[in-house]
Amino acid sequence: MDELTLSVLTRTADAAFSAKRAANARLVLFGRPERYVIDAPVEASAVAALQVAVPSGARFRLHRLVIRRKDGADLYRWAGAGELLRESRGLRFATADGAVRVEAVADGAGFTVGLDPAISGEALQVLLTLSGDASATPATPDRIAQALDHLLARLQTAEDDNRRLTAAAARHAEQLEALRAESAQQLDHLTQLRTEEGQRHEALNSILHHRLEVLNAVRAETAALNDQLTAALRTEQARATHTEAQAAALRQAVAAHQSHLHALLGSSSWRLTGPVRWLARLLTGRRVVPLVLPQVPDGAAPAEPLEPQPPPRPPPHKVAFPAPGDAAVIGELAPQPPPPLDVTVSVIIPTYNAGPEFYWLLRKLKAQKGLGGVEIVVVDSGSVDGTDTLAEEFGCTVVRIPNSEFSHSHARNLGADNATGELYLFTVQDAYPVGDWWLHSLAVALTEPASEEMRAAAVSCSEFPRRDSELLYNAAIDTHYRFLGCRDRDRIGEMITDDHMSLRAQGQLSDVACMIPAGTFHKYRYHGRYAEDLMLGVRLLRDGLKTAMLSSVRVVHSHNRPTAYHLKRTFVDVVFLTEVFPDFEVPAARSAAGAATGAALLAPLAEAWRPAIGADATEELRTFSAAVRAAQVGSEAAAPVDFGFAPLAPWLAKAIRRKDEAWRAEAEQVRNMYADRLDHLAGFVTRTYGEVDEHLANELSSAARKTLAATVGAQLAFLYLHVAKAGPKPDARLVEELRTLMTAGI
Amino acid sequence: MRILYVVHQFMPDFAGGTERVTLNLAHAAQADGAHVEILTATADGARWREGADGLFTQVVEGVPVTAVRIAEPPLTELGFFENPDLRAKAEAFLRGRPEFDVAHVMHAFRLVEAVEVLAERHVPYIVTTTDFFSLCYRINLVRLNGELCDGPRDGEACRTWCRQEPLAEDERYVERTRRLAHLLHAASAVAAVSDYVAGRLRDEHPDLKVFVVRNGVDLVRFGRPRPRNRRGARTVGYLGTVSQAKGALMLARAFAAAEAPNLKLRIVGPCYEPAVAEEIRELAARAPMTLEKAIPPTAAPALLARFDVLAVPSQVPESFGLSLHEGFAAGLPTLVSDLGNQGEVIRQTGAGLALPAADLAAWSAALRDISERPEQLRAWAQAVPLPWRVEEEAFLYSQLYRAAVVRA
Repeated sequence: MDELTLSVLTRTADAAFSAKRAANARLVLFGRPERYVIDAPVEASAVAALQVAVPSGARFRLHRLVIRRKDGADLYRWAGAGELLRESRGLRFATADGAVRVEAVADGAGFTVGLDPAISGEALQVLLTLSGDASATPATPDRIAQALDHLLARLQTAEDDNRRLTAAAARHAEQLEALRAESAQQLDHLTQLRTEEGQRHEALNSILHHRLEVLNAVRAETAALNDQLTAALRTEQARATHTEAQAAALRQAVAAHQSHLHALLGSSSWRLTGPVRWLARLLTGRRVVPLVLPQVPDGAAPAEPLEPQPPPRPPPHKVAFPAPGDAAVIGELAPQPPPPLDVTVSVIIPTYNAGPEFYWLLRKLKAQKGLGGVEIVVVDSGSVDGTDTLAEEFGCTVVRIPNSEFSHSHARNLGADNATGELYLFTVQDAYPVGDWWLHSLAVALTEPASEEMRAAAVSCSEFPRRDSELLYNAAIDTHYRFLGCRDRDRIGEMITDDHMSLRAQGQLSDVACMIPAGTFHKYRYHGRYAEDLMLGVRLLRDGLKTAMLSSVRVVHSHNRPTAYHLKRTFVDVVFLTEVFPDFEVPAARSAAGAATGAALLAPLAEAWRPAIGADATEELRTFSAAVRAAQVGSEAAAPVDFGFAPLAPWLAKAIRRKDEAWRAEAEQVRNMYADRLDHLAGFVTRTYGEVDEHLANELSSAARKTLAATVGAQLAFLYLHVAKAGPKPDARLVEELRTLMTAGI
Repeated sequence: MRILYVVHQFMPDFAGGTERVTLNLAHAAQADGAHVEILTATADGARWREGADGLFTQVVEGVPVTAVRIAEPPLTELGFFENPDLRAKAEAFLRGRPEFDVAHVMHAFRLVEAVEVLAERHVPYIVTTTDFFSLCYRINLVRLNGELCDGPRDGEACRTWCRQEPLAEDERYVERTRRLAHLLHAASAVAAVSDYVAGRLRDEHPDLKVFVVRNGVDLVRFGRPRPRNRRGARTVGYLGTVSQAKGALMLARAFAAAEAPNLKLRIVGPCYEPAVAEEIRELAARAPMTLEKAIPPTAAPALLARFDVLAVPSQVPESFGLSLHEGFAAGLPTLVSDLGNQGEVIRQTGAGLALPAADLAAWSAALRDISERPEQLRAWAQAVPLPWRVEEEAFLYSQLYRAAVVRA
């Protein structure tokens, strides 16, 4: 089909408007008549036929179209080429700036030319109905007028509808707004409820967690306290018995002395020697009396504090990182690798013939992750097994000192002087880090505590026993950590009171693993020959700083020491504690023969004791303890027992010859202390073991022998402390020899 | 803390790798002040004391052990059917003593009901997956036709590839898979002995959090690895059960075919397959190789110290490979089959070569290459990783125990 040009009839339209004098709207159609004019009603079927006839792409051209509202404003103005395209449901004008829809209405009224709502934004949709058929019949003014009447009527209806709809829309908008406001309120309310619920949940969780921790702590502390109280009770009972016996012995002795004195004063010798005494007094100016006053032990001498009762103190803080019980903080168990710390750690290790395990320690330290750098400084004091050269192979800084120059403090201070890191980690040659994030975990606890309250000046971690660790060491470390409060959780220590119990419990650091900022260390450094780590912690506390002892980070370390070591180590520990803590009290001891007799009495018992296979371990140990307590001190020791420490035997032999009258009581003191220690060991065994087999029997037997060595070591320390301070000069010289022997190599 | 270890078998009946690991963990927990017990199973109880309650007891190196006698057919042990007797005995065991704070399931084989009882009694428990038992009733993730399996897919793969008499019903395979999956999901923590096992678990259970806690090696027994720069023939060593599945025969054949002049092969371990032993002896007649009897675990360091390169030619995917890690402790580079954890570890570290498991020609070529260019052993040895110590393994588990107790 040829192009169908839609021509809107200018003249007829003007005439129509003129005739109608319509005031409420004007429709002006411009254009020039063309071949086809549509002005008659068109049946829908005709439109359909037209649509079918008009192929896709047929054009209806409109030259000019202006649609004005009644107020004269141009609602739509179009001029220029436009195309009336065929659509599925009618014909559509496509223009550059919009579209005019021409569509067949359902009632068959003809074409409706309307503004697309998207263009007008108004309810005005139908403006013109062109009546007539698709023929070339010209439109007449009457028809146009009729069409306009129809159009205006529909326009009026549309405007009415528009107003109604606008009013309805306004109402709906109001309702919608009200609903929206109500919904917002409800949402706010729900959000608030959820927040409150979350807070309650968190609070409950926190309370539950806290209570659980408190319960666990209380349980652990109760168990420890129970052990302590049991041991203390037994000690007190033993002490009471001992005191009673001593009092009786003293009464007897006083009576005997009085009788002896009476006899002496009444004797012929006394009377005959009167002039001699008078002469002597005249010559010396002093009263001459026979030196017969016996040395008696202090009846109320306290036992060695096996498990000291800590002073009342607030519950220790927990280090928030790494938190005990939260596996996620251990690097190896974390879902993601922890963020690295940009810090260099200098690991300082004093060494002496470190042995083959040192290789593994160096490899492990080299494998540490999450730090800016790891430097290893080895201070070797004369190794002959290649320890120093191995360290050099691993790129360590090696400082060599003569063996004679070694002390725990000096070697470590020297290491620090040669270190360059921001943090120092002091460790020992037989330790082994747990995991590849070990240094990182300690560094985080030191440098990034959860709060300032938890900031410690130095951080240590507790030990995780080696596979070959002995039962006695495990029991000792269990007691020690319960005392420190780091058995099951991390402990932050701070200054509470200045007594040795509090200072030790709060200030203990461990050189098996102790991390400290370089600046802090150089301000304090290590002091003293022994327990330099404890004393560093105490000095930090006294300056208002805190120390941390972590349980959630561990270092593999423990010992399986020979019997002689327990003898000497306990001696050294007791002497040290009394030297650095003036309030550390020890039982009185003045009789070397007493210590030797006690050892000689008990050593055969300990050697012979072996728990029965199949029996209950605790029962066996307690039975043995009772047997020890019941052992009667007979005669003085004939031969010394050295517990594998050969240099002790000659000293004891010499000491035994120096008769004193306290030997029996002090032998009994050794006996009772040993029984107390066995009872204490039974506390650990009860918690851990059941039926005895060969393996456990060996462990328990060994523990019993070593416990006796430690007991005798303690008694010798008491002896040294009392005699060196207040004893006669010859005795003081003798115990100084003892000290030299016992401290060598420790 | 009271800790119960659950393991499918134990000393004195068996003393294999899992049993030794369990004993090590129990000892470490005791040293750390915990009360520990072990619950296990025994086939006949002949070496145990029988109690009035029908349970068998024993003390092994200071650790009390209680065993339930399992007289059920193997399918029950594998977790296919309920074993009411085992359930009753597990309940009796738990009733007869103070509550445990935590349990550690070292292996659920034979003892699925015991673990279920623990879950019902709300005893928090840790599961260690030492192999693929939780995923595969055949335990090795190898299908009946010999192909590697990529997981049970909720039992669908089992019934498709591994259905066999007398278990004809499809639903049994699905039930078993779901039952074991439930045990994993009800655990306080699930640990895998290697990244490889953890990966297989995560493939099947993407929502399951799996920790990797490798088995430890008693490094102290090993000492510093000796330098291996001597001249002369190098020793290729094999340590473990001498069987087809472990690849000992393939290795012997490859070695014989390689005709490598500067190498000798030592195959050390127990052999329960006479045909395999026979063929290796025949091969030994024309190639420098020996078949040697088993050694105690304590002798392993000394033996490994005499090897120059270790071979782990397993024909099935290994979940961990203790000999591989003991070899690392001895400083040994390793030739491994390209399967399981051993293949993964060697590929990641470069501490040896991962070779196609059954490709005899490839193994021969690799052995010849070592013979001709022994200097490459040194480069591989530089990459040998540091194994975990048994104490590290024990400490990580102690943390999981504490976490489980706190959460419970």
